[in-house]
Amino acid sequence: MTKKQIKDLVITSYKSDDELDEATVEKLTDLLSRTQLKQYIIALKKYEEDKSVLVKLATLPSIDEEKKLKEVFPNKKIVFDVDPSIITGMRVVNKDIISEYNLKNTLDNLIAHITENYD
Amino acid sequence: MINSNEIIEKLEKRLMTFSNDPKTDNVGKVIKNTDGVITASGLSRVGMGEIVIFSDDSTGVVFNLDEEFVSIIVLSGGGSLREGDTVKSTGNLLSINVSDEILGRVVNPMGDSLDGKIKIEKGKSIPLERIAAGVIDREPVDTPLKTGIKAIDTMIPVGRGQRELIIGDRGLGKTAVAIDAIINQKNILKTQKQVICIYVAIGQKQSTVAQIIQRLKDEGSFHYTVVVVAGASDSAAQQYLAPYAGTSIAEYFMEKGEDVLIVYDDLTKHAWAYRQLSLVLRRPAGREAYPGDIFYLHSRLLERSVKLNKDLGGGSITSFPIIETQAGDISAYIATNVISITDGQIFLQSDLFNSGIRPAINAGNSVSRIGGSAQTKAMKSIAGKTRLELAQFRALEAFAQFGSELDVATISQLERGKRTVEILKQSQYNPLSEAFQILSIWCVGNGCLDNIKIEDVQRFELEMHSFVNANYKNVIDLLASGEKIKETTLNEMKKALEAFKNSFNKISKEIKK
Ligand SMILES: Nc1ncnc2c1ncn2[C@@H]1O[C@H](COP(=O)(O)OP(=O)(O)OP(=O)(O)O)[C@@H](O)[C@H]1O
Ligand SMILES: [Mg+2]
Repeated sequence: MTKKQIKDLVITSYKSDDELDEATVEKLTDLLSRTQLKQYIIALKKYEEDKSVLVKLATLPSIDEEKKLKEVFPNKKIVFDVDPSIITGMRVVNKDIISEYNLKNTLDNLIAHITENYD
Repeated sequence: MINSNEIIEKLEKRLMTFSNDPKTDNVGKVIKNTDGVITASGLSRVGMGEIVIFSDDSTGVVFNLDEEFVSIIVLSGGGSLREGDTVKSTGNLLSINVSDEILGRVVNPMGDSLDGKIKIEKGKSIPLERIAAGVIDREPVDTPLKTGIKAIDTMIPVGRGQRELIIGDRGLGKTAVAIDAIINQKNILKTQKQVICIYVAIGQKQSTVAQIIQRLKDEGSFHYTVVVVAGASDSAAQQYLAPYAGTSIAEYFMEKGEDVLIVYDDLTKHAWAYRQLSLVLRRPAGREAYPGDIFYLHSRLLERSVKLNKDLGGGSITSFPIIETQAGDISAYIATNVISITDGQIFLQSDLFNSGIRPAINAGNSVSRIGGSAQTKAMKSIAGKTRLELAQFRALEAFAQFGSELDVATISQLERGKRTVEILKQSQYNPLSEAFQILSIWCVGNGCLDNIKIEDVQRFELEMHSFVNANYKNVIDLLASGEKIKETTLNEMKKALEAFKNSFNKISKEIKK
């Protein structure tokens, strides 16, 4: 099975409202061989990852913040994750790009910079 | 001391730019780990040759960029990496930190110390892969780089900035030639520029490398030498990177205006390491299973040996790449490739080695495309004809084997040739300075040795050198200057030799009695 065919399978597995269609997935699982199933799962995972953005915050976002993020990533599902060690700001994981807009990272960088350049 | 005000200032600055100065990381996930090559997904923004860091702090360098995957060769650690581990880009190209303190050190291709001393952290960071200096930046090679080996300095002279291949079967003294050249750099005259030496050991046994290092220390040559080691037990990635790391170190010194000699021992093993990597990466294999860019592998390395022009400091990198052949076959794939890139080759031959002619240099097949412009006037005037005469002798010798009657002139030419061969023999770790080389070659050339028995020639040479050095120091000084040899100097040389021959013959007679 080619990569293109697997991709098509993944796209057909979704309902119109971007939710996985359990019935289609069940049916496909029965039809696919072991290797094909593995490829299918990898492709599904990647698809899920690609259409969502993970946002890590120190506290739950305000309605205003949520709205702004939705404007930045209009076609994506935004997943929030609370991690107090961030202190303030946020970390955005979009596919394989991680953007750091938070104090923890800035402080870490400062520490690294100081230990590298002064002793 | 940390200047706390300075740091707080920086901290405040960082805070001020906090919201509009985001740091972005590019990450990926490990998919496969095979033979030191990691396949990872993600990492869509990394570049070729960029360093990446894995979640267990091991490092790697990007070697293949595919549509969906990135192949990474592991540089350090990596043994415990598993599927799903994360990997992060750094934005830095693979480079090595170099400062003057690297002289007299043993390092691996990443610059990590292998001699128990601390790693050099605060130096100039030089990328391993660099584009060689362009045509405009270069200058013709004109300064000799003396190896101290008679056969090379007289017949196959090497200049600073030249690339001279040392090629031959295993165990014929390829390493010996290179090491002698390094040792000879301690004999350099005050009037000449010191040469910094770099020895890159690729895929060699640790014990062999240890012996070489010990020898360099014993000879007092280690303080101007750097040894870069990627041994037989190191990964193919390290072996592949070693010559580039060595060259980066060389470039650091060259850019400071220094002259550098770099030995790659040997590039056959380097090609093997690259072939191994390429096969694991599933790059298409060509002749002898080498990948298609095997030629580029060595050409981009050896192109970095240059002589820079005065504006750029006038530094130079001279390189001695070494290639091992099978049964003297210099037309094998890698051998022909490297021959075509270099400016000449020193060809060592097994039948010469076995018949006791050491160094086993085949003067007929060896050339230096720089030639006489890399010799001093003195050497050129004395040694100019040696190579031709030796080639004629070889042809005559083959002819004389038929046992036919020979005329007197031919016999005397044969006898002269035998003595030339004898005088070009030289033991290991025994480099000679130019003045003594000229004396020896001049002796045999003007027939001084014709009535000396062949088995006495080496003793004659040794004693003659110490005699002239003791009694005619002015001759040695004149020859060492490299100036064109004047009539008066020649007369002095004749006088010195006359005096020596008298005493030599007397001693020989006494020995006989
Ligand atoms: N000029 C010389 N006079 C006497 N012996 C020599 C001379 N040059 C080399 N040898 C001897 O020849 C042997 C092989 O030398 P060397 O290790 O330098 O060869 P090599 O070509 O580098 O070998 P390898 O292929 O294993 O790297 C050594 O034992 C060395 O001592
Ligand atoms: Mg060797």
